[in-house]
Amino acid sequence: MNPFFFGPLDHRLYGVYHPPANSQRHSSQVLLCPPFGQEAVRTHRLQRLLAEHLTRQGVHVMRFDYFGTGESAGADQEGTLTRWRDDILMAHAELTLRTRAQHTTWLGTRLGATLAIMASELCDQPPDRLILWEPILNGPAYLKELGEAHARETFVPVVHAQRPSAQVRDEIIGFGVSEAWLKQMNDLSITKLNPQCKEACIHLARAEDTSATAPLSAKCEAMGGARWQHIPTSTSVAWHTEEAGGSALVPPDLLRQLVAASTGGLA
Amino acid sequence: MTENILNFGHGDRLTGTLTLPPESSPAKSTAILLLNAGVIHRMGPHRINVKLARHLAQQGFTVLRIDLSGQGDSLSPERPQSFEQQAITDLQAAMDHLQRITPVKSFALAGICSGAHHGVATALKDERLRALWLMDTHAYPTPRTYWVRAMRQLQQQPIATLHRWSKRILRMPGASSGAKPAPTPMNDNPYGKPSKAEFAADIQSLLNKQVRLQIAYSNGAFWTHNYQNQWRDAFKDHGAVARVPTELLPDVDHTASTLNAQRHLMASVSRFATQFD
Repeated sequence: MNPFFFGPLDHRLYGVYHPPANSQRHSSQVLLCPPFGQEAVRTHRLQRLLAEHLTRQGVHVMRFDYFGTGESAGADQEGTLTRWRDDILMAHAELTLRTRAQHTTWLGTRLGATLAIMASELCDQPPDRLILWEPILNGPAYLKELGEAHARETFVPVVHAQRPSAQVRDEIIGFGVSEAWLKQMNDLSITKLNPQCKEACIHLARAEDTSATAPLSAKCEAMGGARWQHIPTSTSVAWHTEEAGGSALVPPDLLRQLVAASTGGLA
Repeated sequence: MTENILNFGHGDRLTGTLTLPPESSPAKSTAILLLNAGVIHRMGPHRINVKLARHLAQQGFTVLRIDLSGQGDSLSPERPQSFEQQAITDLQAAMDHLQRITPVKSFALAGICSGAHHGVATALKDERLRALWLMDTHAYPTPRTYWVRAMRQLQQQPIATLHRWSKRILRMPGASSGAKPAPTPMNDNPYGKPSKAEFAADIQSLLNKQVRLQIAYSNGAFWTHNYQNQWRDAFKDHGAVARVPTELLPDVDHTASTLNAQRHLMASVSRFATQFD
Protein backbone atom coordinates (compact mmCIF):
# COMPACT_ATOMS: atom_id res chain seq x y z
CA MET A 1 0.00 0.00 0.00
CA ASN A 2 1.74 3.16 -1.22
CA PRO A 3 0.05 6.46 -0.44
CA PHE A 4 1.17 9.45 -2.53
CA PHE A 5 0.13 12.77 -4.01
CA PHE A 6 -0.15 13.19 -7.73
CA GLY A 7 -1.21 15.82 -10.24
CA PRO A 8 -0.15 19.44 -10.68
CA LEU A 9 0.94 21.43 -7.63
CA ASP A 10 -2.22 23.54 -7.60
CA HIS A 11 -4.43 20.46 -7.94
CA ARG A 12 -2.77 17.74 -5.93
CA LEU A 13 -4.78 14.61 -5.45
CA TYR A 14 -4.25 11.90 -2.88
CA GLY A 15 -3.92 8.36 -4.11
CA VAL A 16 -3.09 4.98 -2.63
CA TYR A 17 -1.55 2.42 -4.95
CA HIS A 18 -1.92 -1.21 -3.93
CA PRO A 19 0.63 -3.32 -5.84
CA PRO A 20 -0.36 -6.88 -6.69
CA ALA A 21 1.02 -9.86 -4.83
CA ASN A 22 4.15 -10.87 -6.71
CA SER A 23 3.24 -14.49 -7.08
CA GLN A 24 -0.03 -13.70 -8.82
CA ARG A 25 0.85 -10.50 -10.70
CA HIS A 26 -0.91 -10.00 -14.02
CA SER A 27 -1.71 -7.14 -16.28
CA SER A 28 -5.01 -5.91 -14.88
CA GLN A 29 -5.68 -2.74 -12.97
CA VAL A 30 -8.70 -1.48 -11.05
CA LEU A 31 -9.35 2.17 -10.27
CA LEU A 32 -11.74 2.72 -7.39
CA CYS A 33 -13.86 5.87 -7.78
CA PRO A 34 -15.24 6.87 -4.38
CA PRO A 35 -18.69 8.23 -3.60
CA PHE A 36 -19.51 11.66 -2.19
CA GLY A 37 -19.25 13.04 1.35
CA GLN A 38 -20.38 10.85 4.20
CA GLU A 39 -20.77 7.94 1.78
CA ALA A 40 -17.02 8.11 1.13
CA VAL A 41 -16.29 8.02 4.86
CA ARG A 42 -18.75 5.17 5.24
CA THR A 43 -17.12 3.08 2.49
CA HIS A 44 -13.46 3.90 3.13
CA ARG A 45 -12.82 0.67 5.01
CA LEU A 46 -14.66 -1.39 2.41
CA GLN A 47 -12.61 0.17 -0.41
CA ARG A 48 -9.36 -0.60 1.38
CA LEU A 49 -10.33 -4.22 2.00
CA LEU A 50 -11.57 -4.55 -1.57
CA ALA A 51 -8.19 -3.30 -2.79
CA GLU A 52 -6.38 -5.80 -0.58
CA HIS A 53 -8.54 -8.68 -1.82
CA LEU A 54 -7.88 -7.73 -5.43
CA THR A 55 -4.12 -7.43 -4.97
CA ARG A 56 -4.07 -10.96 -3.60
CA GLN A 57 -5.49 -12.01 -6.97
CA GLY A 58 -2.68 -10.23 -8.81
CA VAL A 59 -4.51 -7.02 -9.68
CA HIS A 60 -3.02 -3.51 -9.46
CA VAL A 61 -5.43 -1.25 -7.54
CA MET A 62 -5.57 2.45 -6.88
CA ARG A 63 -7.83 4.41 -4.57
CA PHE A 64 -7.90 8.20 -4.66
CA ASP A 65 -9.74 11.26 -3.37
CA TYR A 66 -11.27 13.89 -5.63
CA PHE A 67 -10.11 17.50 -5.36
CA GLY A 68 -11.55 19.14 -2.25
CA THR A 69 -12.32 15.77 -0.64
CA GLY A 70 -10.55 13.40 1.73
CA GLU A 71 -6.79 13.84 1.77
CA SER A 72 -6.62 15.76 -1.51
CA ALA A 73 -5.89 19.46 -1.78
CA GLY A 74 -8.70 21.97 -1.89
CA ALA A 75 -11.59 23.00 0.30
CA ASP A 76 -14.92 21.17 0.28
CA GLN A 77 -16.59 23.90 -1.75
CA GLU A 78 -14.01 23.75 -4.54
CA GLY A 79 -15.28 20.43 -5.84
CA THR A 80 -17.53 20.24 -8.89
CA LEU A 81 -18.78 17.24 -10.82
CA THR A 82 -16.79 18.18 -13.92
CA ARG A 83 -13.62 18.62 -11.87
CA TRP A 84 -14.14 15.24 -10.21
CA ARG A 85 -14.85 13.65 -13.61
CA ASP A 86 -11.50 15.00 -14.79
CA ASP A 87 -9.88 13.74 -11.58
CA ILE A 88 -10.86 10.20 -12.59
CA LEU A 89 -9.05 10.69 -15.88
CA MET A 90 -6.01 12.01 -14.03
CA ALA A 91 -6.04 9.09 -11.59
CA HIS A 92 -6.42 6.64 -14.47
CA ALA A 93 -3.39 8.16 -16.21
CA GLU A 94 -1.41 7.97 -12.98
CA LEU A 95 -2.30 4.33 -12.38
CA THR A 96 -1.55 3.36 -15.98
CA LEU A 97 1.80 5.10 -15.80
CA ARG A 98 2.70 2.96 -12.78
CA THR A 99 1.43 -0.38 -14.04
CA ARG A 100 1.42 -0.37 -17.87
CA ALA A 101 -1.50 -2.74 -17.40
CA GLN A 102 -3.37 -3.97 -20.46
CA HIS A 103 -6.78 -4.45 -18.89
CA THR A 104 -8.55 -1.69 -16.98
CA THR A 105 -11.59 -1.69 -14.72
CA TRP A 106 -13.13 1.35 -13.14
CA LEU A 107 -15.27 0.60 -10.14
CA GLY A 108 -17.43 3.54 -9.12
CA THR A 109 -19.56 3.73 -6.03
CA ARG A 110 -22.75 5.86 -6.05
CA LEU A 111 -21.76 9.32 -7.37
CA GLY A 112 -18.35 7.83 -8.15
CA ALA A 113 -20.07 5.47 -10.59
CA THR A 114 -21.81 8.39 -12.26
CA LEU A 115 -18.55 10.30 -12.52
CA ALA A 116 -16.90 7.19 -13.97
CA ILE A 117 -19.54 7.09 -16.72
CA MET A 118 -18.93 10.79 -17.42
CA ALA A 119 -15.16 10.23 -17.51
CA SER A 120 -15.50 7.19 -19.79
CA GLU A 121 -17.10 9.43 -22.40
CA LEU A 122 -13.95 11.58 -22.50
CA CYS A 123 -11.32 8.89 -22.21
CA ASP A 124 -9.19 8.11 -25.28
CA GLN A 125 -8.97 4.52 -24.14
CA PRO A 126 -12.18 3.76 -22.23
CA PRO A 127 -11.93 1.11 -19.55
CA ASP A 128 -12.54 -2.50 -20.44
CA ARG A 129 -14.94 -2.87 -17.55
CA LEU A 130 -17.10 -0.28 -15.92
CA ILE A 131 -18.57 -1.39 -12.61
CA LEU A 132 -21.38 0.80 -11.36
CA TRP A 133 -22.36 0.19 -7.76
CA GLU A 134 -25.69 1.90 -7.13
CA PRO A 135 -24.93 4.80 -9.50
CA ILE A 136 -26.65 8.16 -9.04
CA LEU A 137 -28.74 8.63 -12.16
CA ASN A 138 -31.08 11.42 -11.11
CA GLY A 139 -29.39 14.51 -9.64
CA PRO A 140 -32.47 16.22 -8.18
CA ALA A 141 -33.60 12.98 -6.54
CA TYR A 142 -30.13 12.50 -5.06
CA LEU A 143 -30.14 16.05 -3.73
CA LYS A 144 -33.47 15.34 -2.09
CA GLU A 145 -32.02 12.18 -0.54
CA LEU A 146 -28.96 14.08 0.68
CA GLY A 147 -31.08 16.90 2.12
CA GLU A 148 -33.24 14.45 4.02
CA ALA A 149 -30.14 12.66 5.27
CA HIS A 150 -28.67 15.97 6.43
CA ALA A 151 -31.83 16.84 8.33
CA ARG A 152 -31.95 13.40 9.90
CA GLU A 153 -28.28 12.89 10.74
CA THR A 154 -27.59 16.35 12.15
CA PHE A 155 -30.67 16.45 14.36
CA VAL A 156 -30.28 15.46 17.98
CA PRO A 157 -33.62 15.13 19.80
CA VAL A 158 -33.80 17.06 23.07
CA VAL A 159 -30.55 18.91 22.23
CA HIS A 160 -32.01 20.67 19.18
CA ALA A 161 -35.34 22.42 19.35
CA GLN A 162 -36.22 21.64 15.74
CA ARG A 163 -35.11 19.48 12.87
CA PRO A 164 -32.87 21.24 10.32
CA SER A 165 -34.19 22.02 6.87
CA ALA A 166 -34.02 19.21 4.33
CA GLN A 167 -33.29 21.75 1.60
CA VAL A 168 -29.65 21.53 0.54
CA ARG A 169 -28.04 24.96 0.64
CA ASP A 170 -24.31 25.03 1.26
CA GLU A 171 -23.58 21.79 3.07
CA ILE A 172 -24.53 18.16 3.34
CA ILE A 173 -23.79 16.50 6.69
CA GLY A 174 -20.69 18.59 7.29
CA PHE A 175 -19.38 18.63 3.73
CA GLY A 176 -19.56 22.02 2.06
CA VAL A 177 -20.92 22.33 -1.47
CA SER A 178 -20.89 25.28 -3.88
CA GLU A 179 -23.59 26.76 -6.07
CA ALA A 180 -21.77 25.33 -9.09
CA TRP A 181 -21.88 21.85 -7.55
CA LEU A 182 -25.58 22.21 -6.83
CA LYS A 183 -26.30 23.39 -10.36
CA GLN A 184 -24.40 20.48 -11.88
CA MET A 185 -26.17 18.06 -9.59
CA ASN A 186 -29.56 19.49 -10.53
CA ASP A 187 -28.65 19.02 -14.19
CA LEU A 188 -27.60 15.40 -13.71
CA SER A 189 -29.87 13.05 -15.58
CA ILE A 190 -29.61 9.51 -16.90
CA THR A 191 -30.50 10.81 -20.36
CA LYS A 192 -27.18 12.68 -20.50
CA LEU A 193 -25.04 9.69 -19.50
CA ASN A 194 -23.38 7.56 -22.18
CA PRO A 195 -21.16 4.89 -20.64
CA GLN A 196 -18.21 3.85 -22.77
CA CYS A 197 -16.37 0.59 -22.19
CA LYS A 198 -14.90 -2.20 -24.30
CA GLU A 199 -16.00 -5.34 -22.57
CA ALA A 200 -18.73 -5.00 -19.97
CA CYS A 201 -20.75 -2.53 -18.01
CA ILE A 202 -21.69 -4.15 -14.73
CA HIS A 203 -24.44 -2.74 -12.58
CA LEU A 204 -24.52 -3.70 -8.90
CA ALA A 205 -27.70 -2.78 -7.10
CA ARG A 206 -30.68 -4.24 -5.38
CA ALA A 207 -32.95 -6.15 -7.71
CA GLU A 208 -35.71 -3.56 -7.43
CA ASP A 209 -33.39 -0.87 -8.83
CA THR A 210 -32.85 -2.65 -12.15
CA SER A 211 -35.59 -0.93 -14.13
CA ALA A 212 -34.15 2.54 -13.50
CA THR A 213 -31.06 1.67 -15.51
CA ALA A 214 -32.86 0.44 -18.63
CA PRO A 215 -31.81 3.50 -20.70
CA LEU A 216 -28.18 2.93 -19.69
CA SER A 217 -28.21 -0.75 -20.57
CA ALA A 218 -29.73 0.10 -23.96
CA LYS A 219 -26.97 2.64 -24.65
CA CYS A 220 -24.33 0.17 -23.51
CA GLU A 221 -25.57 -2.58 -25.78
CA ALA A 222 -25.90 -0.12 -28.67
CA MET A 223 -22.16 0.51 -28.42
CA GLY A 224 -21.53 -2.92 -29.80
CA GLY A 225 -19.11 -5.30 -28.20
CA ALA A 226 -19.78 -4.34 -24.60
CA ARG A 227 -22.38 -6.24 -22.64
CA TRP A 228 -24.60 -4.98 -19.84
CA GLN A 229 -24.81 -7.14 -16.75
CA HIS A 230 -26.86 -6.62 -13.64
CA ILE A 231 -25.68 -8.19 -10.41
CA PRO A 232 -28.38 -8.05 -7.75
CA THR A 233 -27.20 -7.34 -4.23
CA SER A 234 -29.10 -8.31 -1.15
CA THR A 235 -27.22 -5.91 1.10
CA SER A 236 -28.85 -2.59 1.81
CA VAL A 237 -26.21 -0.02 2.73
CA ALA A 238 -27.08 2.80 5.14
CA TRP A 239 -25.15 5.26 3.02
CA HIS A 240 -25.47 8.37 5.14
CA THR A 241 -25.23 7.07 8.68
CA GLU A 242 -22.34 7.72 10.97
CA GLU A 243 -19.82 4.97 10.54
CA ALA A 244 -20.23 3.96 14.16
CA GLY A 245 -23.96 3.73 13.84
CA GLY A 246 -24.04 -0.01 14.31
CA SER A 247 -24.38 -1.21 10.72
CA ALA A 248 -21.65 -3.31 9.13
CA LEU A 249 -18.92 -1.27 7.47
CA VAL A 250 -17.86 -4.18 5.29
CA PRO A 251 -20.73 -6.57 4.55
CA PRO A 252 -19.00 -9.83 3.52
CA ASP A 253 -21.47 -10.64 0.71
CA LEU A 254 -21.01 -7.23 -0.82
CA LEU A 255 -17.24 -7.46 -0.66
CA ARG A 256 -17.37 -10.85 -2.35
CA GLN A 257 -19.61 -9.51 -5.12
CA LEU A 258 -17.40 -6.49 -5.73
CA VAL A 259 -14.29 -8.67 -5.93
CA ALA A 260 -16.01 -11.05 -8.32
CA ALA A 261 -17.27 -8.23 -10.54
CA SER A 262 -13.81 -6.67 -10.65
CA THR A 263 -12.05 -9.86 -11.59
CA GLY A 264 -14.60 -11.17 -14.03
CA GLY A 265 -15.79 -13.99 -11.81
CA LEU A 266 -19.46 -14.67 -11.34
CA ALA A 267 -21.00 -13.20 -8.24
CA MET B 1 1.11 25.60 3.68
CA THR B 2 2.29 22.29 2.31
CA GLU B 3 1.17 18.73 2.88
CA ASN B 4 3.30 15.60 2.69
CA ILE B 5 2.54 11.95 3.18
CA LEU B 6 4.68 10.26 5.80
CA ASN B 7 5.31 6.59 6.43
CA PHE B 8 6.87 5.82 9.78
CA GLY B 9 6.94 3.40 12.67
CA HIS B 10 8.17 -0.18 12.63
CA GLY B 11 8.56 -1.22 8.99
CA ASP B 12 7.05 2.10 7.92
CA ARG B 13 3.62 0.56 8.52
CA LEU B 14 2.02 3.75 9.76
CA THR B 15 0.73 6.53 7.50
CA GLY B 16 0.19 10.17 8.29
CA THR B 17 -0.24 13.50 6.57
CA LEU B 18 2.14 16.25 7.63
CA THR B 19 0.83 19.78 7.22
CA LEU B 20 3.53 22.42 7.44
CA PRO B 21 2.97 26.13 8.02
CA PRO B 22 3.57 28.58 5.18
CA GLU B 23 7.24 29.35 4.65
CA SER B 24 6.50 33.00 5.32
CA SER B 25 5.41 32.38 8.91
CA PRO B 26 7.89 31.22 11.55
CA ALA B 27 7.19 27.63 12.55
CA LYS B 28 6.35 27.09 16.21
CA SER B 29 8.32 24.56 18.23
CA THR B 30 5.19 22.66 19.28
CA ALA B 31 3.74 20.21 16.79
CA ILE B 32 0.11 19.16 16.98
CA LEU B 33 -1.02 15.56 16.56
CA LEU B 34 -4.47 14.64 15.26
CA LEU B 35 -5.64 11.04 15.00
CA ASN B 36 -8.55 8.80 14.21
CA ALA B 37 -11.84 9.34 15.98
CA GLY B 38 -13.35 5.92 16.42
CA VAL B 39 -12.94 3.97 13.19
CA ILE B 40 -12.81 7.00 10.91
CA HIS B 41 -9.61 7.39 8.90
CA ARG B 42 -7.26 10.27 9.58
CA MET B 43 -9.22 12.90 7.67
CA GLY B 44 -11.51 12.78 10.69
CA PRO B 45 -15.29 12.81 10.87
CA HIS B 46 -16.68 15.05 8.12
CA ARG B 47 -13.08 15.89 7.13
CA ILE B 48 -12.66 17.92 10.32
CA ASN B 49 -9.02 16.86 10.84
CA VAL B 50 -8.03 18.09 7.38
CA LYS B 51 -9.73 21.43 7.94
CA LEU B 52 -8.31 21.76 11.45
CA ALA B 53 -4.78 20.84 10.37
CA ARG B 54 -4.79 23.44 7.61
CA HIS B 55 -6.24 26.03 9.97
CA LEU B 56 -3.56 25.35 12.60
CA ALA B 57 -0.79 25.35 9.98
CA GLN B 58 -1.87 28.85 9.02
CA GLN B 59 -1.20 29.76 12.66
CA GLY B 60 2.36 28.46 12.34
CA PHE B 61 1.94 24.93 13.66
CA THR B 62 3.35 21.75 12.24
CA VAL B 63 0.47 19.27 12.27
CA LEU B 64 0.59 15.53 11.79
CA ARG B 65 -2.63 13.62 11.17
CA ILE B 66 -2.14 9.93 11.91
CA ASP B 67 -3.84 6.69 11.04
CA LEU B 68 -3.23 4.38 13.98
CA SER B 69 -2.24 0.76 13.27
CA GLY B 70 -4.75 -1.06 11.11
CA GLN B 71 -6.89 2.01 10.56
CA GLY B 72 -7.26 4.21 7.49
CA ASP B 73 -4.15 3.72 5.36
CA SER B 74 -1.92 2.25 8.08
CA LEU B 75 -1.09 -1.43 8.14
CA SER B 76 -1.82 -3.67 11.08
CA PRO B 77 1.13 -4.26 13.40
CA GLU B 78 3.24 -7.37 12.93
CA ARG B 79 3.08 -8.02 16.66
CA PRO B 80 -0.22 -6.63 17.94
CA GLN B 81 -0.42 -5.16 21.41
CA SER B 82 -3.44 -4.20 23.46
CA PHE B 83 -5.60 -1.49 21.91
CA GLU B 84 -4.34 1.16 24.35
CA GLN B 85 -0.68 0.15 24.22
CA GLN B 86 -0.73 0.02 20.43
CA ALA B 87 -2.05 3.58 20.28
CA ILE B 88 0.71 4.73 22.63
CA THR B 89 3.34 2.94 20.54
CA ASP B 90 1.97 4.50 17.36
CA LEU B 91 1.86 8.02 18.79
CA GLN B 92 5.39 7.65 20.13
CA ALA B 93 6.54 6.49 16.69
CA ALA B 94 4.91 9.59 15.22
CA MET B 95 6.74 11.84 17.69
CA ASP B 96 10.05 10.06 17.08
CA HIS B 97 9.69 10.51 13.34
CA LEU B 98 8.64 14.15 13.54
CA GLN B 99 11.61 14.94 15.75
CA ARG B 100 13.90 13.33 13.20
CA ILE B 101 12.61 15.36 10.26
CA THR B 102 11.55 18.68 11.81
CA PRO B 103 12.94 20.94 14.55
CA VAL B 104 9.84 20.57 16.78
CA LYS B 105 10.60 20.23 20.48
CA SER B 106 7.30 19.24 22.03
CA PHE B 107 3.85 18.01 21.12
CA ALA B 108 0.20 18.75 21.69
CA LEU B 109 -2.68 16.47 20.78
CA ALA B 110 -6.29 17.22 19.92
CA GLY B 111 -8.46 14.14 20.24
CA ILE B 112 -12.13 13.34 20.03
CA CYS B 113 -13.65 10.45 22.02
CA SER B 114 -11.28 7.47 21.69
CA GLY B 115 -8.69 9.91 20.29
CA ALA B 116 -8.94 11.84 23.55
CA HIS B 117 -8.34 8.68 25.57
CA HIS B 118 -5.35 7.77 23.43
CA GLY B 119 -3.98 11.23 24.18
CA VAL B 120 -4.34 10.81 27.94
CA ALA B 121 -2.76 7.34 27.88
CA THR B 122 0.20 8.57 25.83
CA ALA B 123 0.78 11.76 27.83
CA LEU B 124 0.92 9.69 31.01
CA LYS B 125 3.82 7.72 29.55
CA ASP B 126 5.69 10.15 27.33
CA GLU B 127 7.11 13.49 28.53
CA ARG B 128 7.12 14.96 25.03
CA LEU B 129 3.35 15.25 24.89
CA ARG B 130 2.88 18.51 26.77
CA ALA B 131 -0.70 19.55 25.99
CA LEU B 132 -4.04 17.85 25.38
CA TRP B 133 -7.29 19.19 23.95
CA LEU B 134 -9.83 16.49 24.65
CA MET B 135 -13.40 16.43 23.42
CA ASP B 136 -16.00 14.03 24.78
CA THR B 137 -13.70 12.17 27.08
CA HIS B 138 -15.25 10.40 30.07
CA ALA B 139 -18.13 12.29 31.69
CA TYR B 140 -19.37 12.07 35.27
CA PRO B 141 -22.92 13.30 35.80
CA THR B 142 -23.90 15.18 38.92
CA PRO B 143 -27.43 15.57 40.32
CA ARG B 144 -27.64 18.83 38.41
CA THR B 145 -26.87 16.99 35.14
CA TYR B 146 -30.05 14.97 35.56
CA TRP B 147 -31.99 18.11 36.44
CA VAL B 148 -30.75 19.97 33.35
CA ARG B 149 -31.59 16.98 31.23
CA ALA B 150 -35.08 16.67 32.67
CA MET B 151 -35.80 20.37 32.24
CA ARG B 152 -34.69 20.26 28.62
CA GLN B 153 -36.92 17.27 27.96
CA LEU B 154 -39.82 19.03 29.62
CA GLN B 155 -39.18 22.17 27.62
CA GLN B 156 -38.91 20.48 24.26
CA GLN B 157 -41.33 17.59 24.60
CA PRO B 158 -43.64 18.65 27.45
CA ILE B 159 -46.57 16.33 26.88
CA ALA B 160 -44.53 13.25 26.06
CA THR B 161 -42.19 13.91 28.96
CA LEU B 162 -44.97 14.41 31.50
CA HIS B 163 -46.70 11.31 30.19
CA ARG B 164 -43.50 9.28 30.56
CA TRP B 165 -42.79 10.58 34.05
CA SER B 166 -46.31 9.98 35.26
CA LYS B 167 -46.18 6.41 34.00
CA ARG B 168 -42.93 5.85 35.83
CA ILE B 169 -44.22 7.37 39.04
CA LEU B 170 -47.41 5.37 38.95
CA ARG B 171 -45.46 2.27 37.84
CA MET B 172 -48.05 1.64 35.20
CA PRO B 173 -47.62 -1.47 33.08
CA GLY B 174 -45.77 -0.76 29.86
CA ALA B 175 -44.27 2.41 31.27
CA SER B 176 -41.49 2.42 28.76
CA SER B 177 -43.31 1.02 25.76
CA GLY B 178 -44.63 4.30 24.39
CA ALA B 179 -41.73 6.46 25.43
CA LYS B 180 -38.73 7.26 23.31
CA PRO B 181 -35.67 5.58 24.76
CA ALA B 182 -32.77 7.71 25.88
CA PRO B 183 -30.29 8.38 23.08
CA THR B 184 -27.59 5.78 22.89
CA PRO B 185 -24.13 7.34 23.06
CA MET B 186 -22.17 6.66 19.91
CA ASN B 187 -20.40 3.37 20.34
CA ASP B 188 -17.05 4.24 18.81
CA ASN B 189 -14.99 4.15 21.94
CA PRO B 190 -13.52 0.81 22.97
CA TYR B 191 -12.09 2.17 26.22
CA GLY B 192 -13.96 1.17 29.32
CA LYS B 193 -15.11 3.95 31.57
CA PRO B 194 -12.90 4.30 34.63
CA SER B 195 -14.33 5.23 38.01
CA LYS B 196 -14.31 8.93 38.78
CA ALA B 197 -11.48 8.41 41.24
CA GLU B 198 -9.39 6.53 38.68
CA PHE B 199 -9.95 9.18 36.02
CA ALA B 200 -9.21 11.96 38.51
CA ALA B 201 -5.96 10.20 39.41
CA ASP B 202 -4.94 10.15 35.74
CA ILE B 203 -5.78 13.82 35.32
CA GLN B 204 -3.88 14.64 38.51
CA SER B 205 -0.86 12.74 37.16
CA LEU B 206 -1.01 14.84 34.01
CA LEU B 207 -1.21 18.02 36.09
CA ASN B 208 1.78 16.85 38.13
CA LYS B 209 3.68 16.46 34.87
CA GLN B 210 2.58 20.00 33.94
CA VAL B 211 0.65 18.84 30.91
CA ARG B 212 -1.69 21.59 29.75
CA LEU B 213 -5.27 20.46 29.46
CA GLN B 214 -8.46 21.68 27.88
CA ILE B 215 -11.49 19.46 28.27
CA ALA B 216 -14.40 20.08 25.92
CA TYR B 217 -17.80 18.44 25.76
CA SER B 218 -20.02 18.54 22.70
CA ASN B 219 -23.79 18.42 22.74
CA GLY B 220 -23.38 14.75 21.86
CA ALA B 221 -22.46 14.26 25.50
CA PHE B 222 -25.62 16.09 26.65
CA TRP B 223 -27.02 13.04 28.40
CA THR B 224 -23.98 12.82 30.67
CA HIS B 225 -22.40 16.30 30.58
CA ASN B 226 -24.60 19.30 30.00
CA TYR B 227 -23.77 22.40 32.01
CA GLN B 228 -20.81 24.73 32.19
CA ASN B 229 -19.48 23.93 35.66
CA GLN B 230 -20.22 20.23 35.68
CA TRP B 231 -16.57 19.22 35.66
CA ARG B 232 -15.87 21.44 38.66
CA ASP B 233 -18.86 20.01 40.52
CA ALA B 234 -18.06 16.42 39.61
CA PHE B 235 -14.44 16.66 40.76
CA LYS B 236 -14.89 19.06 43.67
CA ASP B 237 -13.32 16.52 46.03
CA HIS B 238 -10.28 16.02 43.81
CA GLY B 239 -8.29 19.20 44.40
CA ALA B 240 -6.62 20.71 41.36
CA VAL B 241 -8.43 18.33 39.01
CA ALA B 242 -11.61 20.36 39.55
CA ARG B 243 -9.85 23.46 38.21
CA VAL B 244 -8.87 21.99 34.84
CA PRO B 245 -10.19 24.33 32.12
CA THR B 246 -13.33 22.92 30.57
CA GLU B 247 -15.60 24.15 27.87
CA LEU B 248 -19.13 23.28 26.87
CA LEU B 249 -19.58 23.38 23.11
CA PRO B 250 -23.37 23.47 22.64
CA ASP B 251 -23.10 24.08 18.90
CA VAL B 252 -20.80 21.12 18.31
CA ASP B 253 -21.99 17.53 18.09
CA HIS B 254 -19.88 14.44 18.73
CA THR B 255 -18.58 14.20 15.16
CA ALA B 256 -18.84 17.87 14.12
CA SER B 257 -21.42 17.00 11.51
CA THR B 258 -22.25 20.52 10.36
CA LEU B 259 -20.01 23.29 9.03
CA ASN B 260 -21.12 25.46 11.94
CA ALA B 261 -20.05 22.77 14.42
CA GLN B 262 -16.70 22.50 12.67
CA ARG B 263 -16.12 26.27 12.96
CA HIS B 264 -16.79 26.15 16.71
CA LEU B 265 -14.58 23.12 17.18
CA MET B 266 -11.71 24.68 15.26
CA ALA B 267 -12.09 27.91 17.23
CA SER B 268 -11.85 25.97 20.50
CA VAL B 269 -8.68 24.14 19.47
CA SER B 270 -7.20 27.37 18.09
CA ARG B 271 -7.81 29.19 21.36
CA PHE B 272 -6.05 26.40 23.22
CA ALA B 273 -3.17 26.39 20.76
CA THR B 274 -2.46 30.09 21.20
CA GLN B 275 -0.71 29.15 24.47
CA PHE B 276 2.08 27.33 22.65
CA ASP B 277 5.32 28.61 21.14
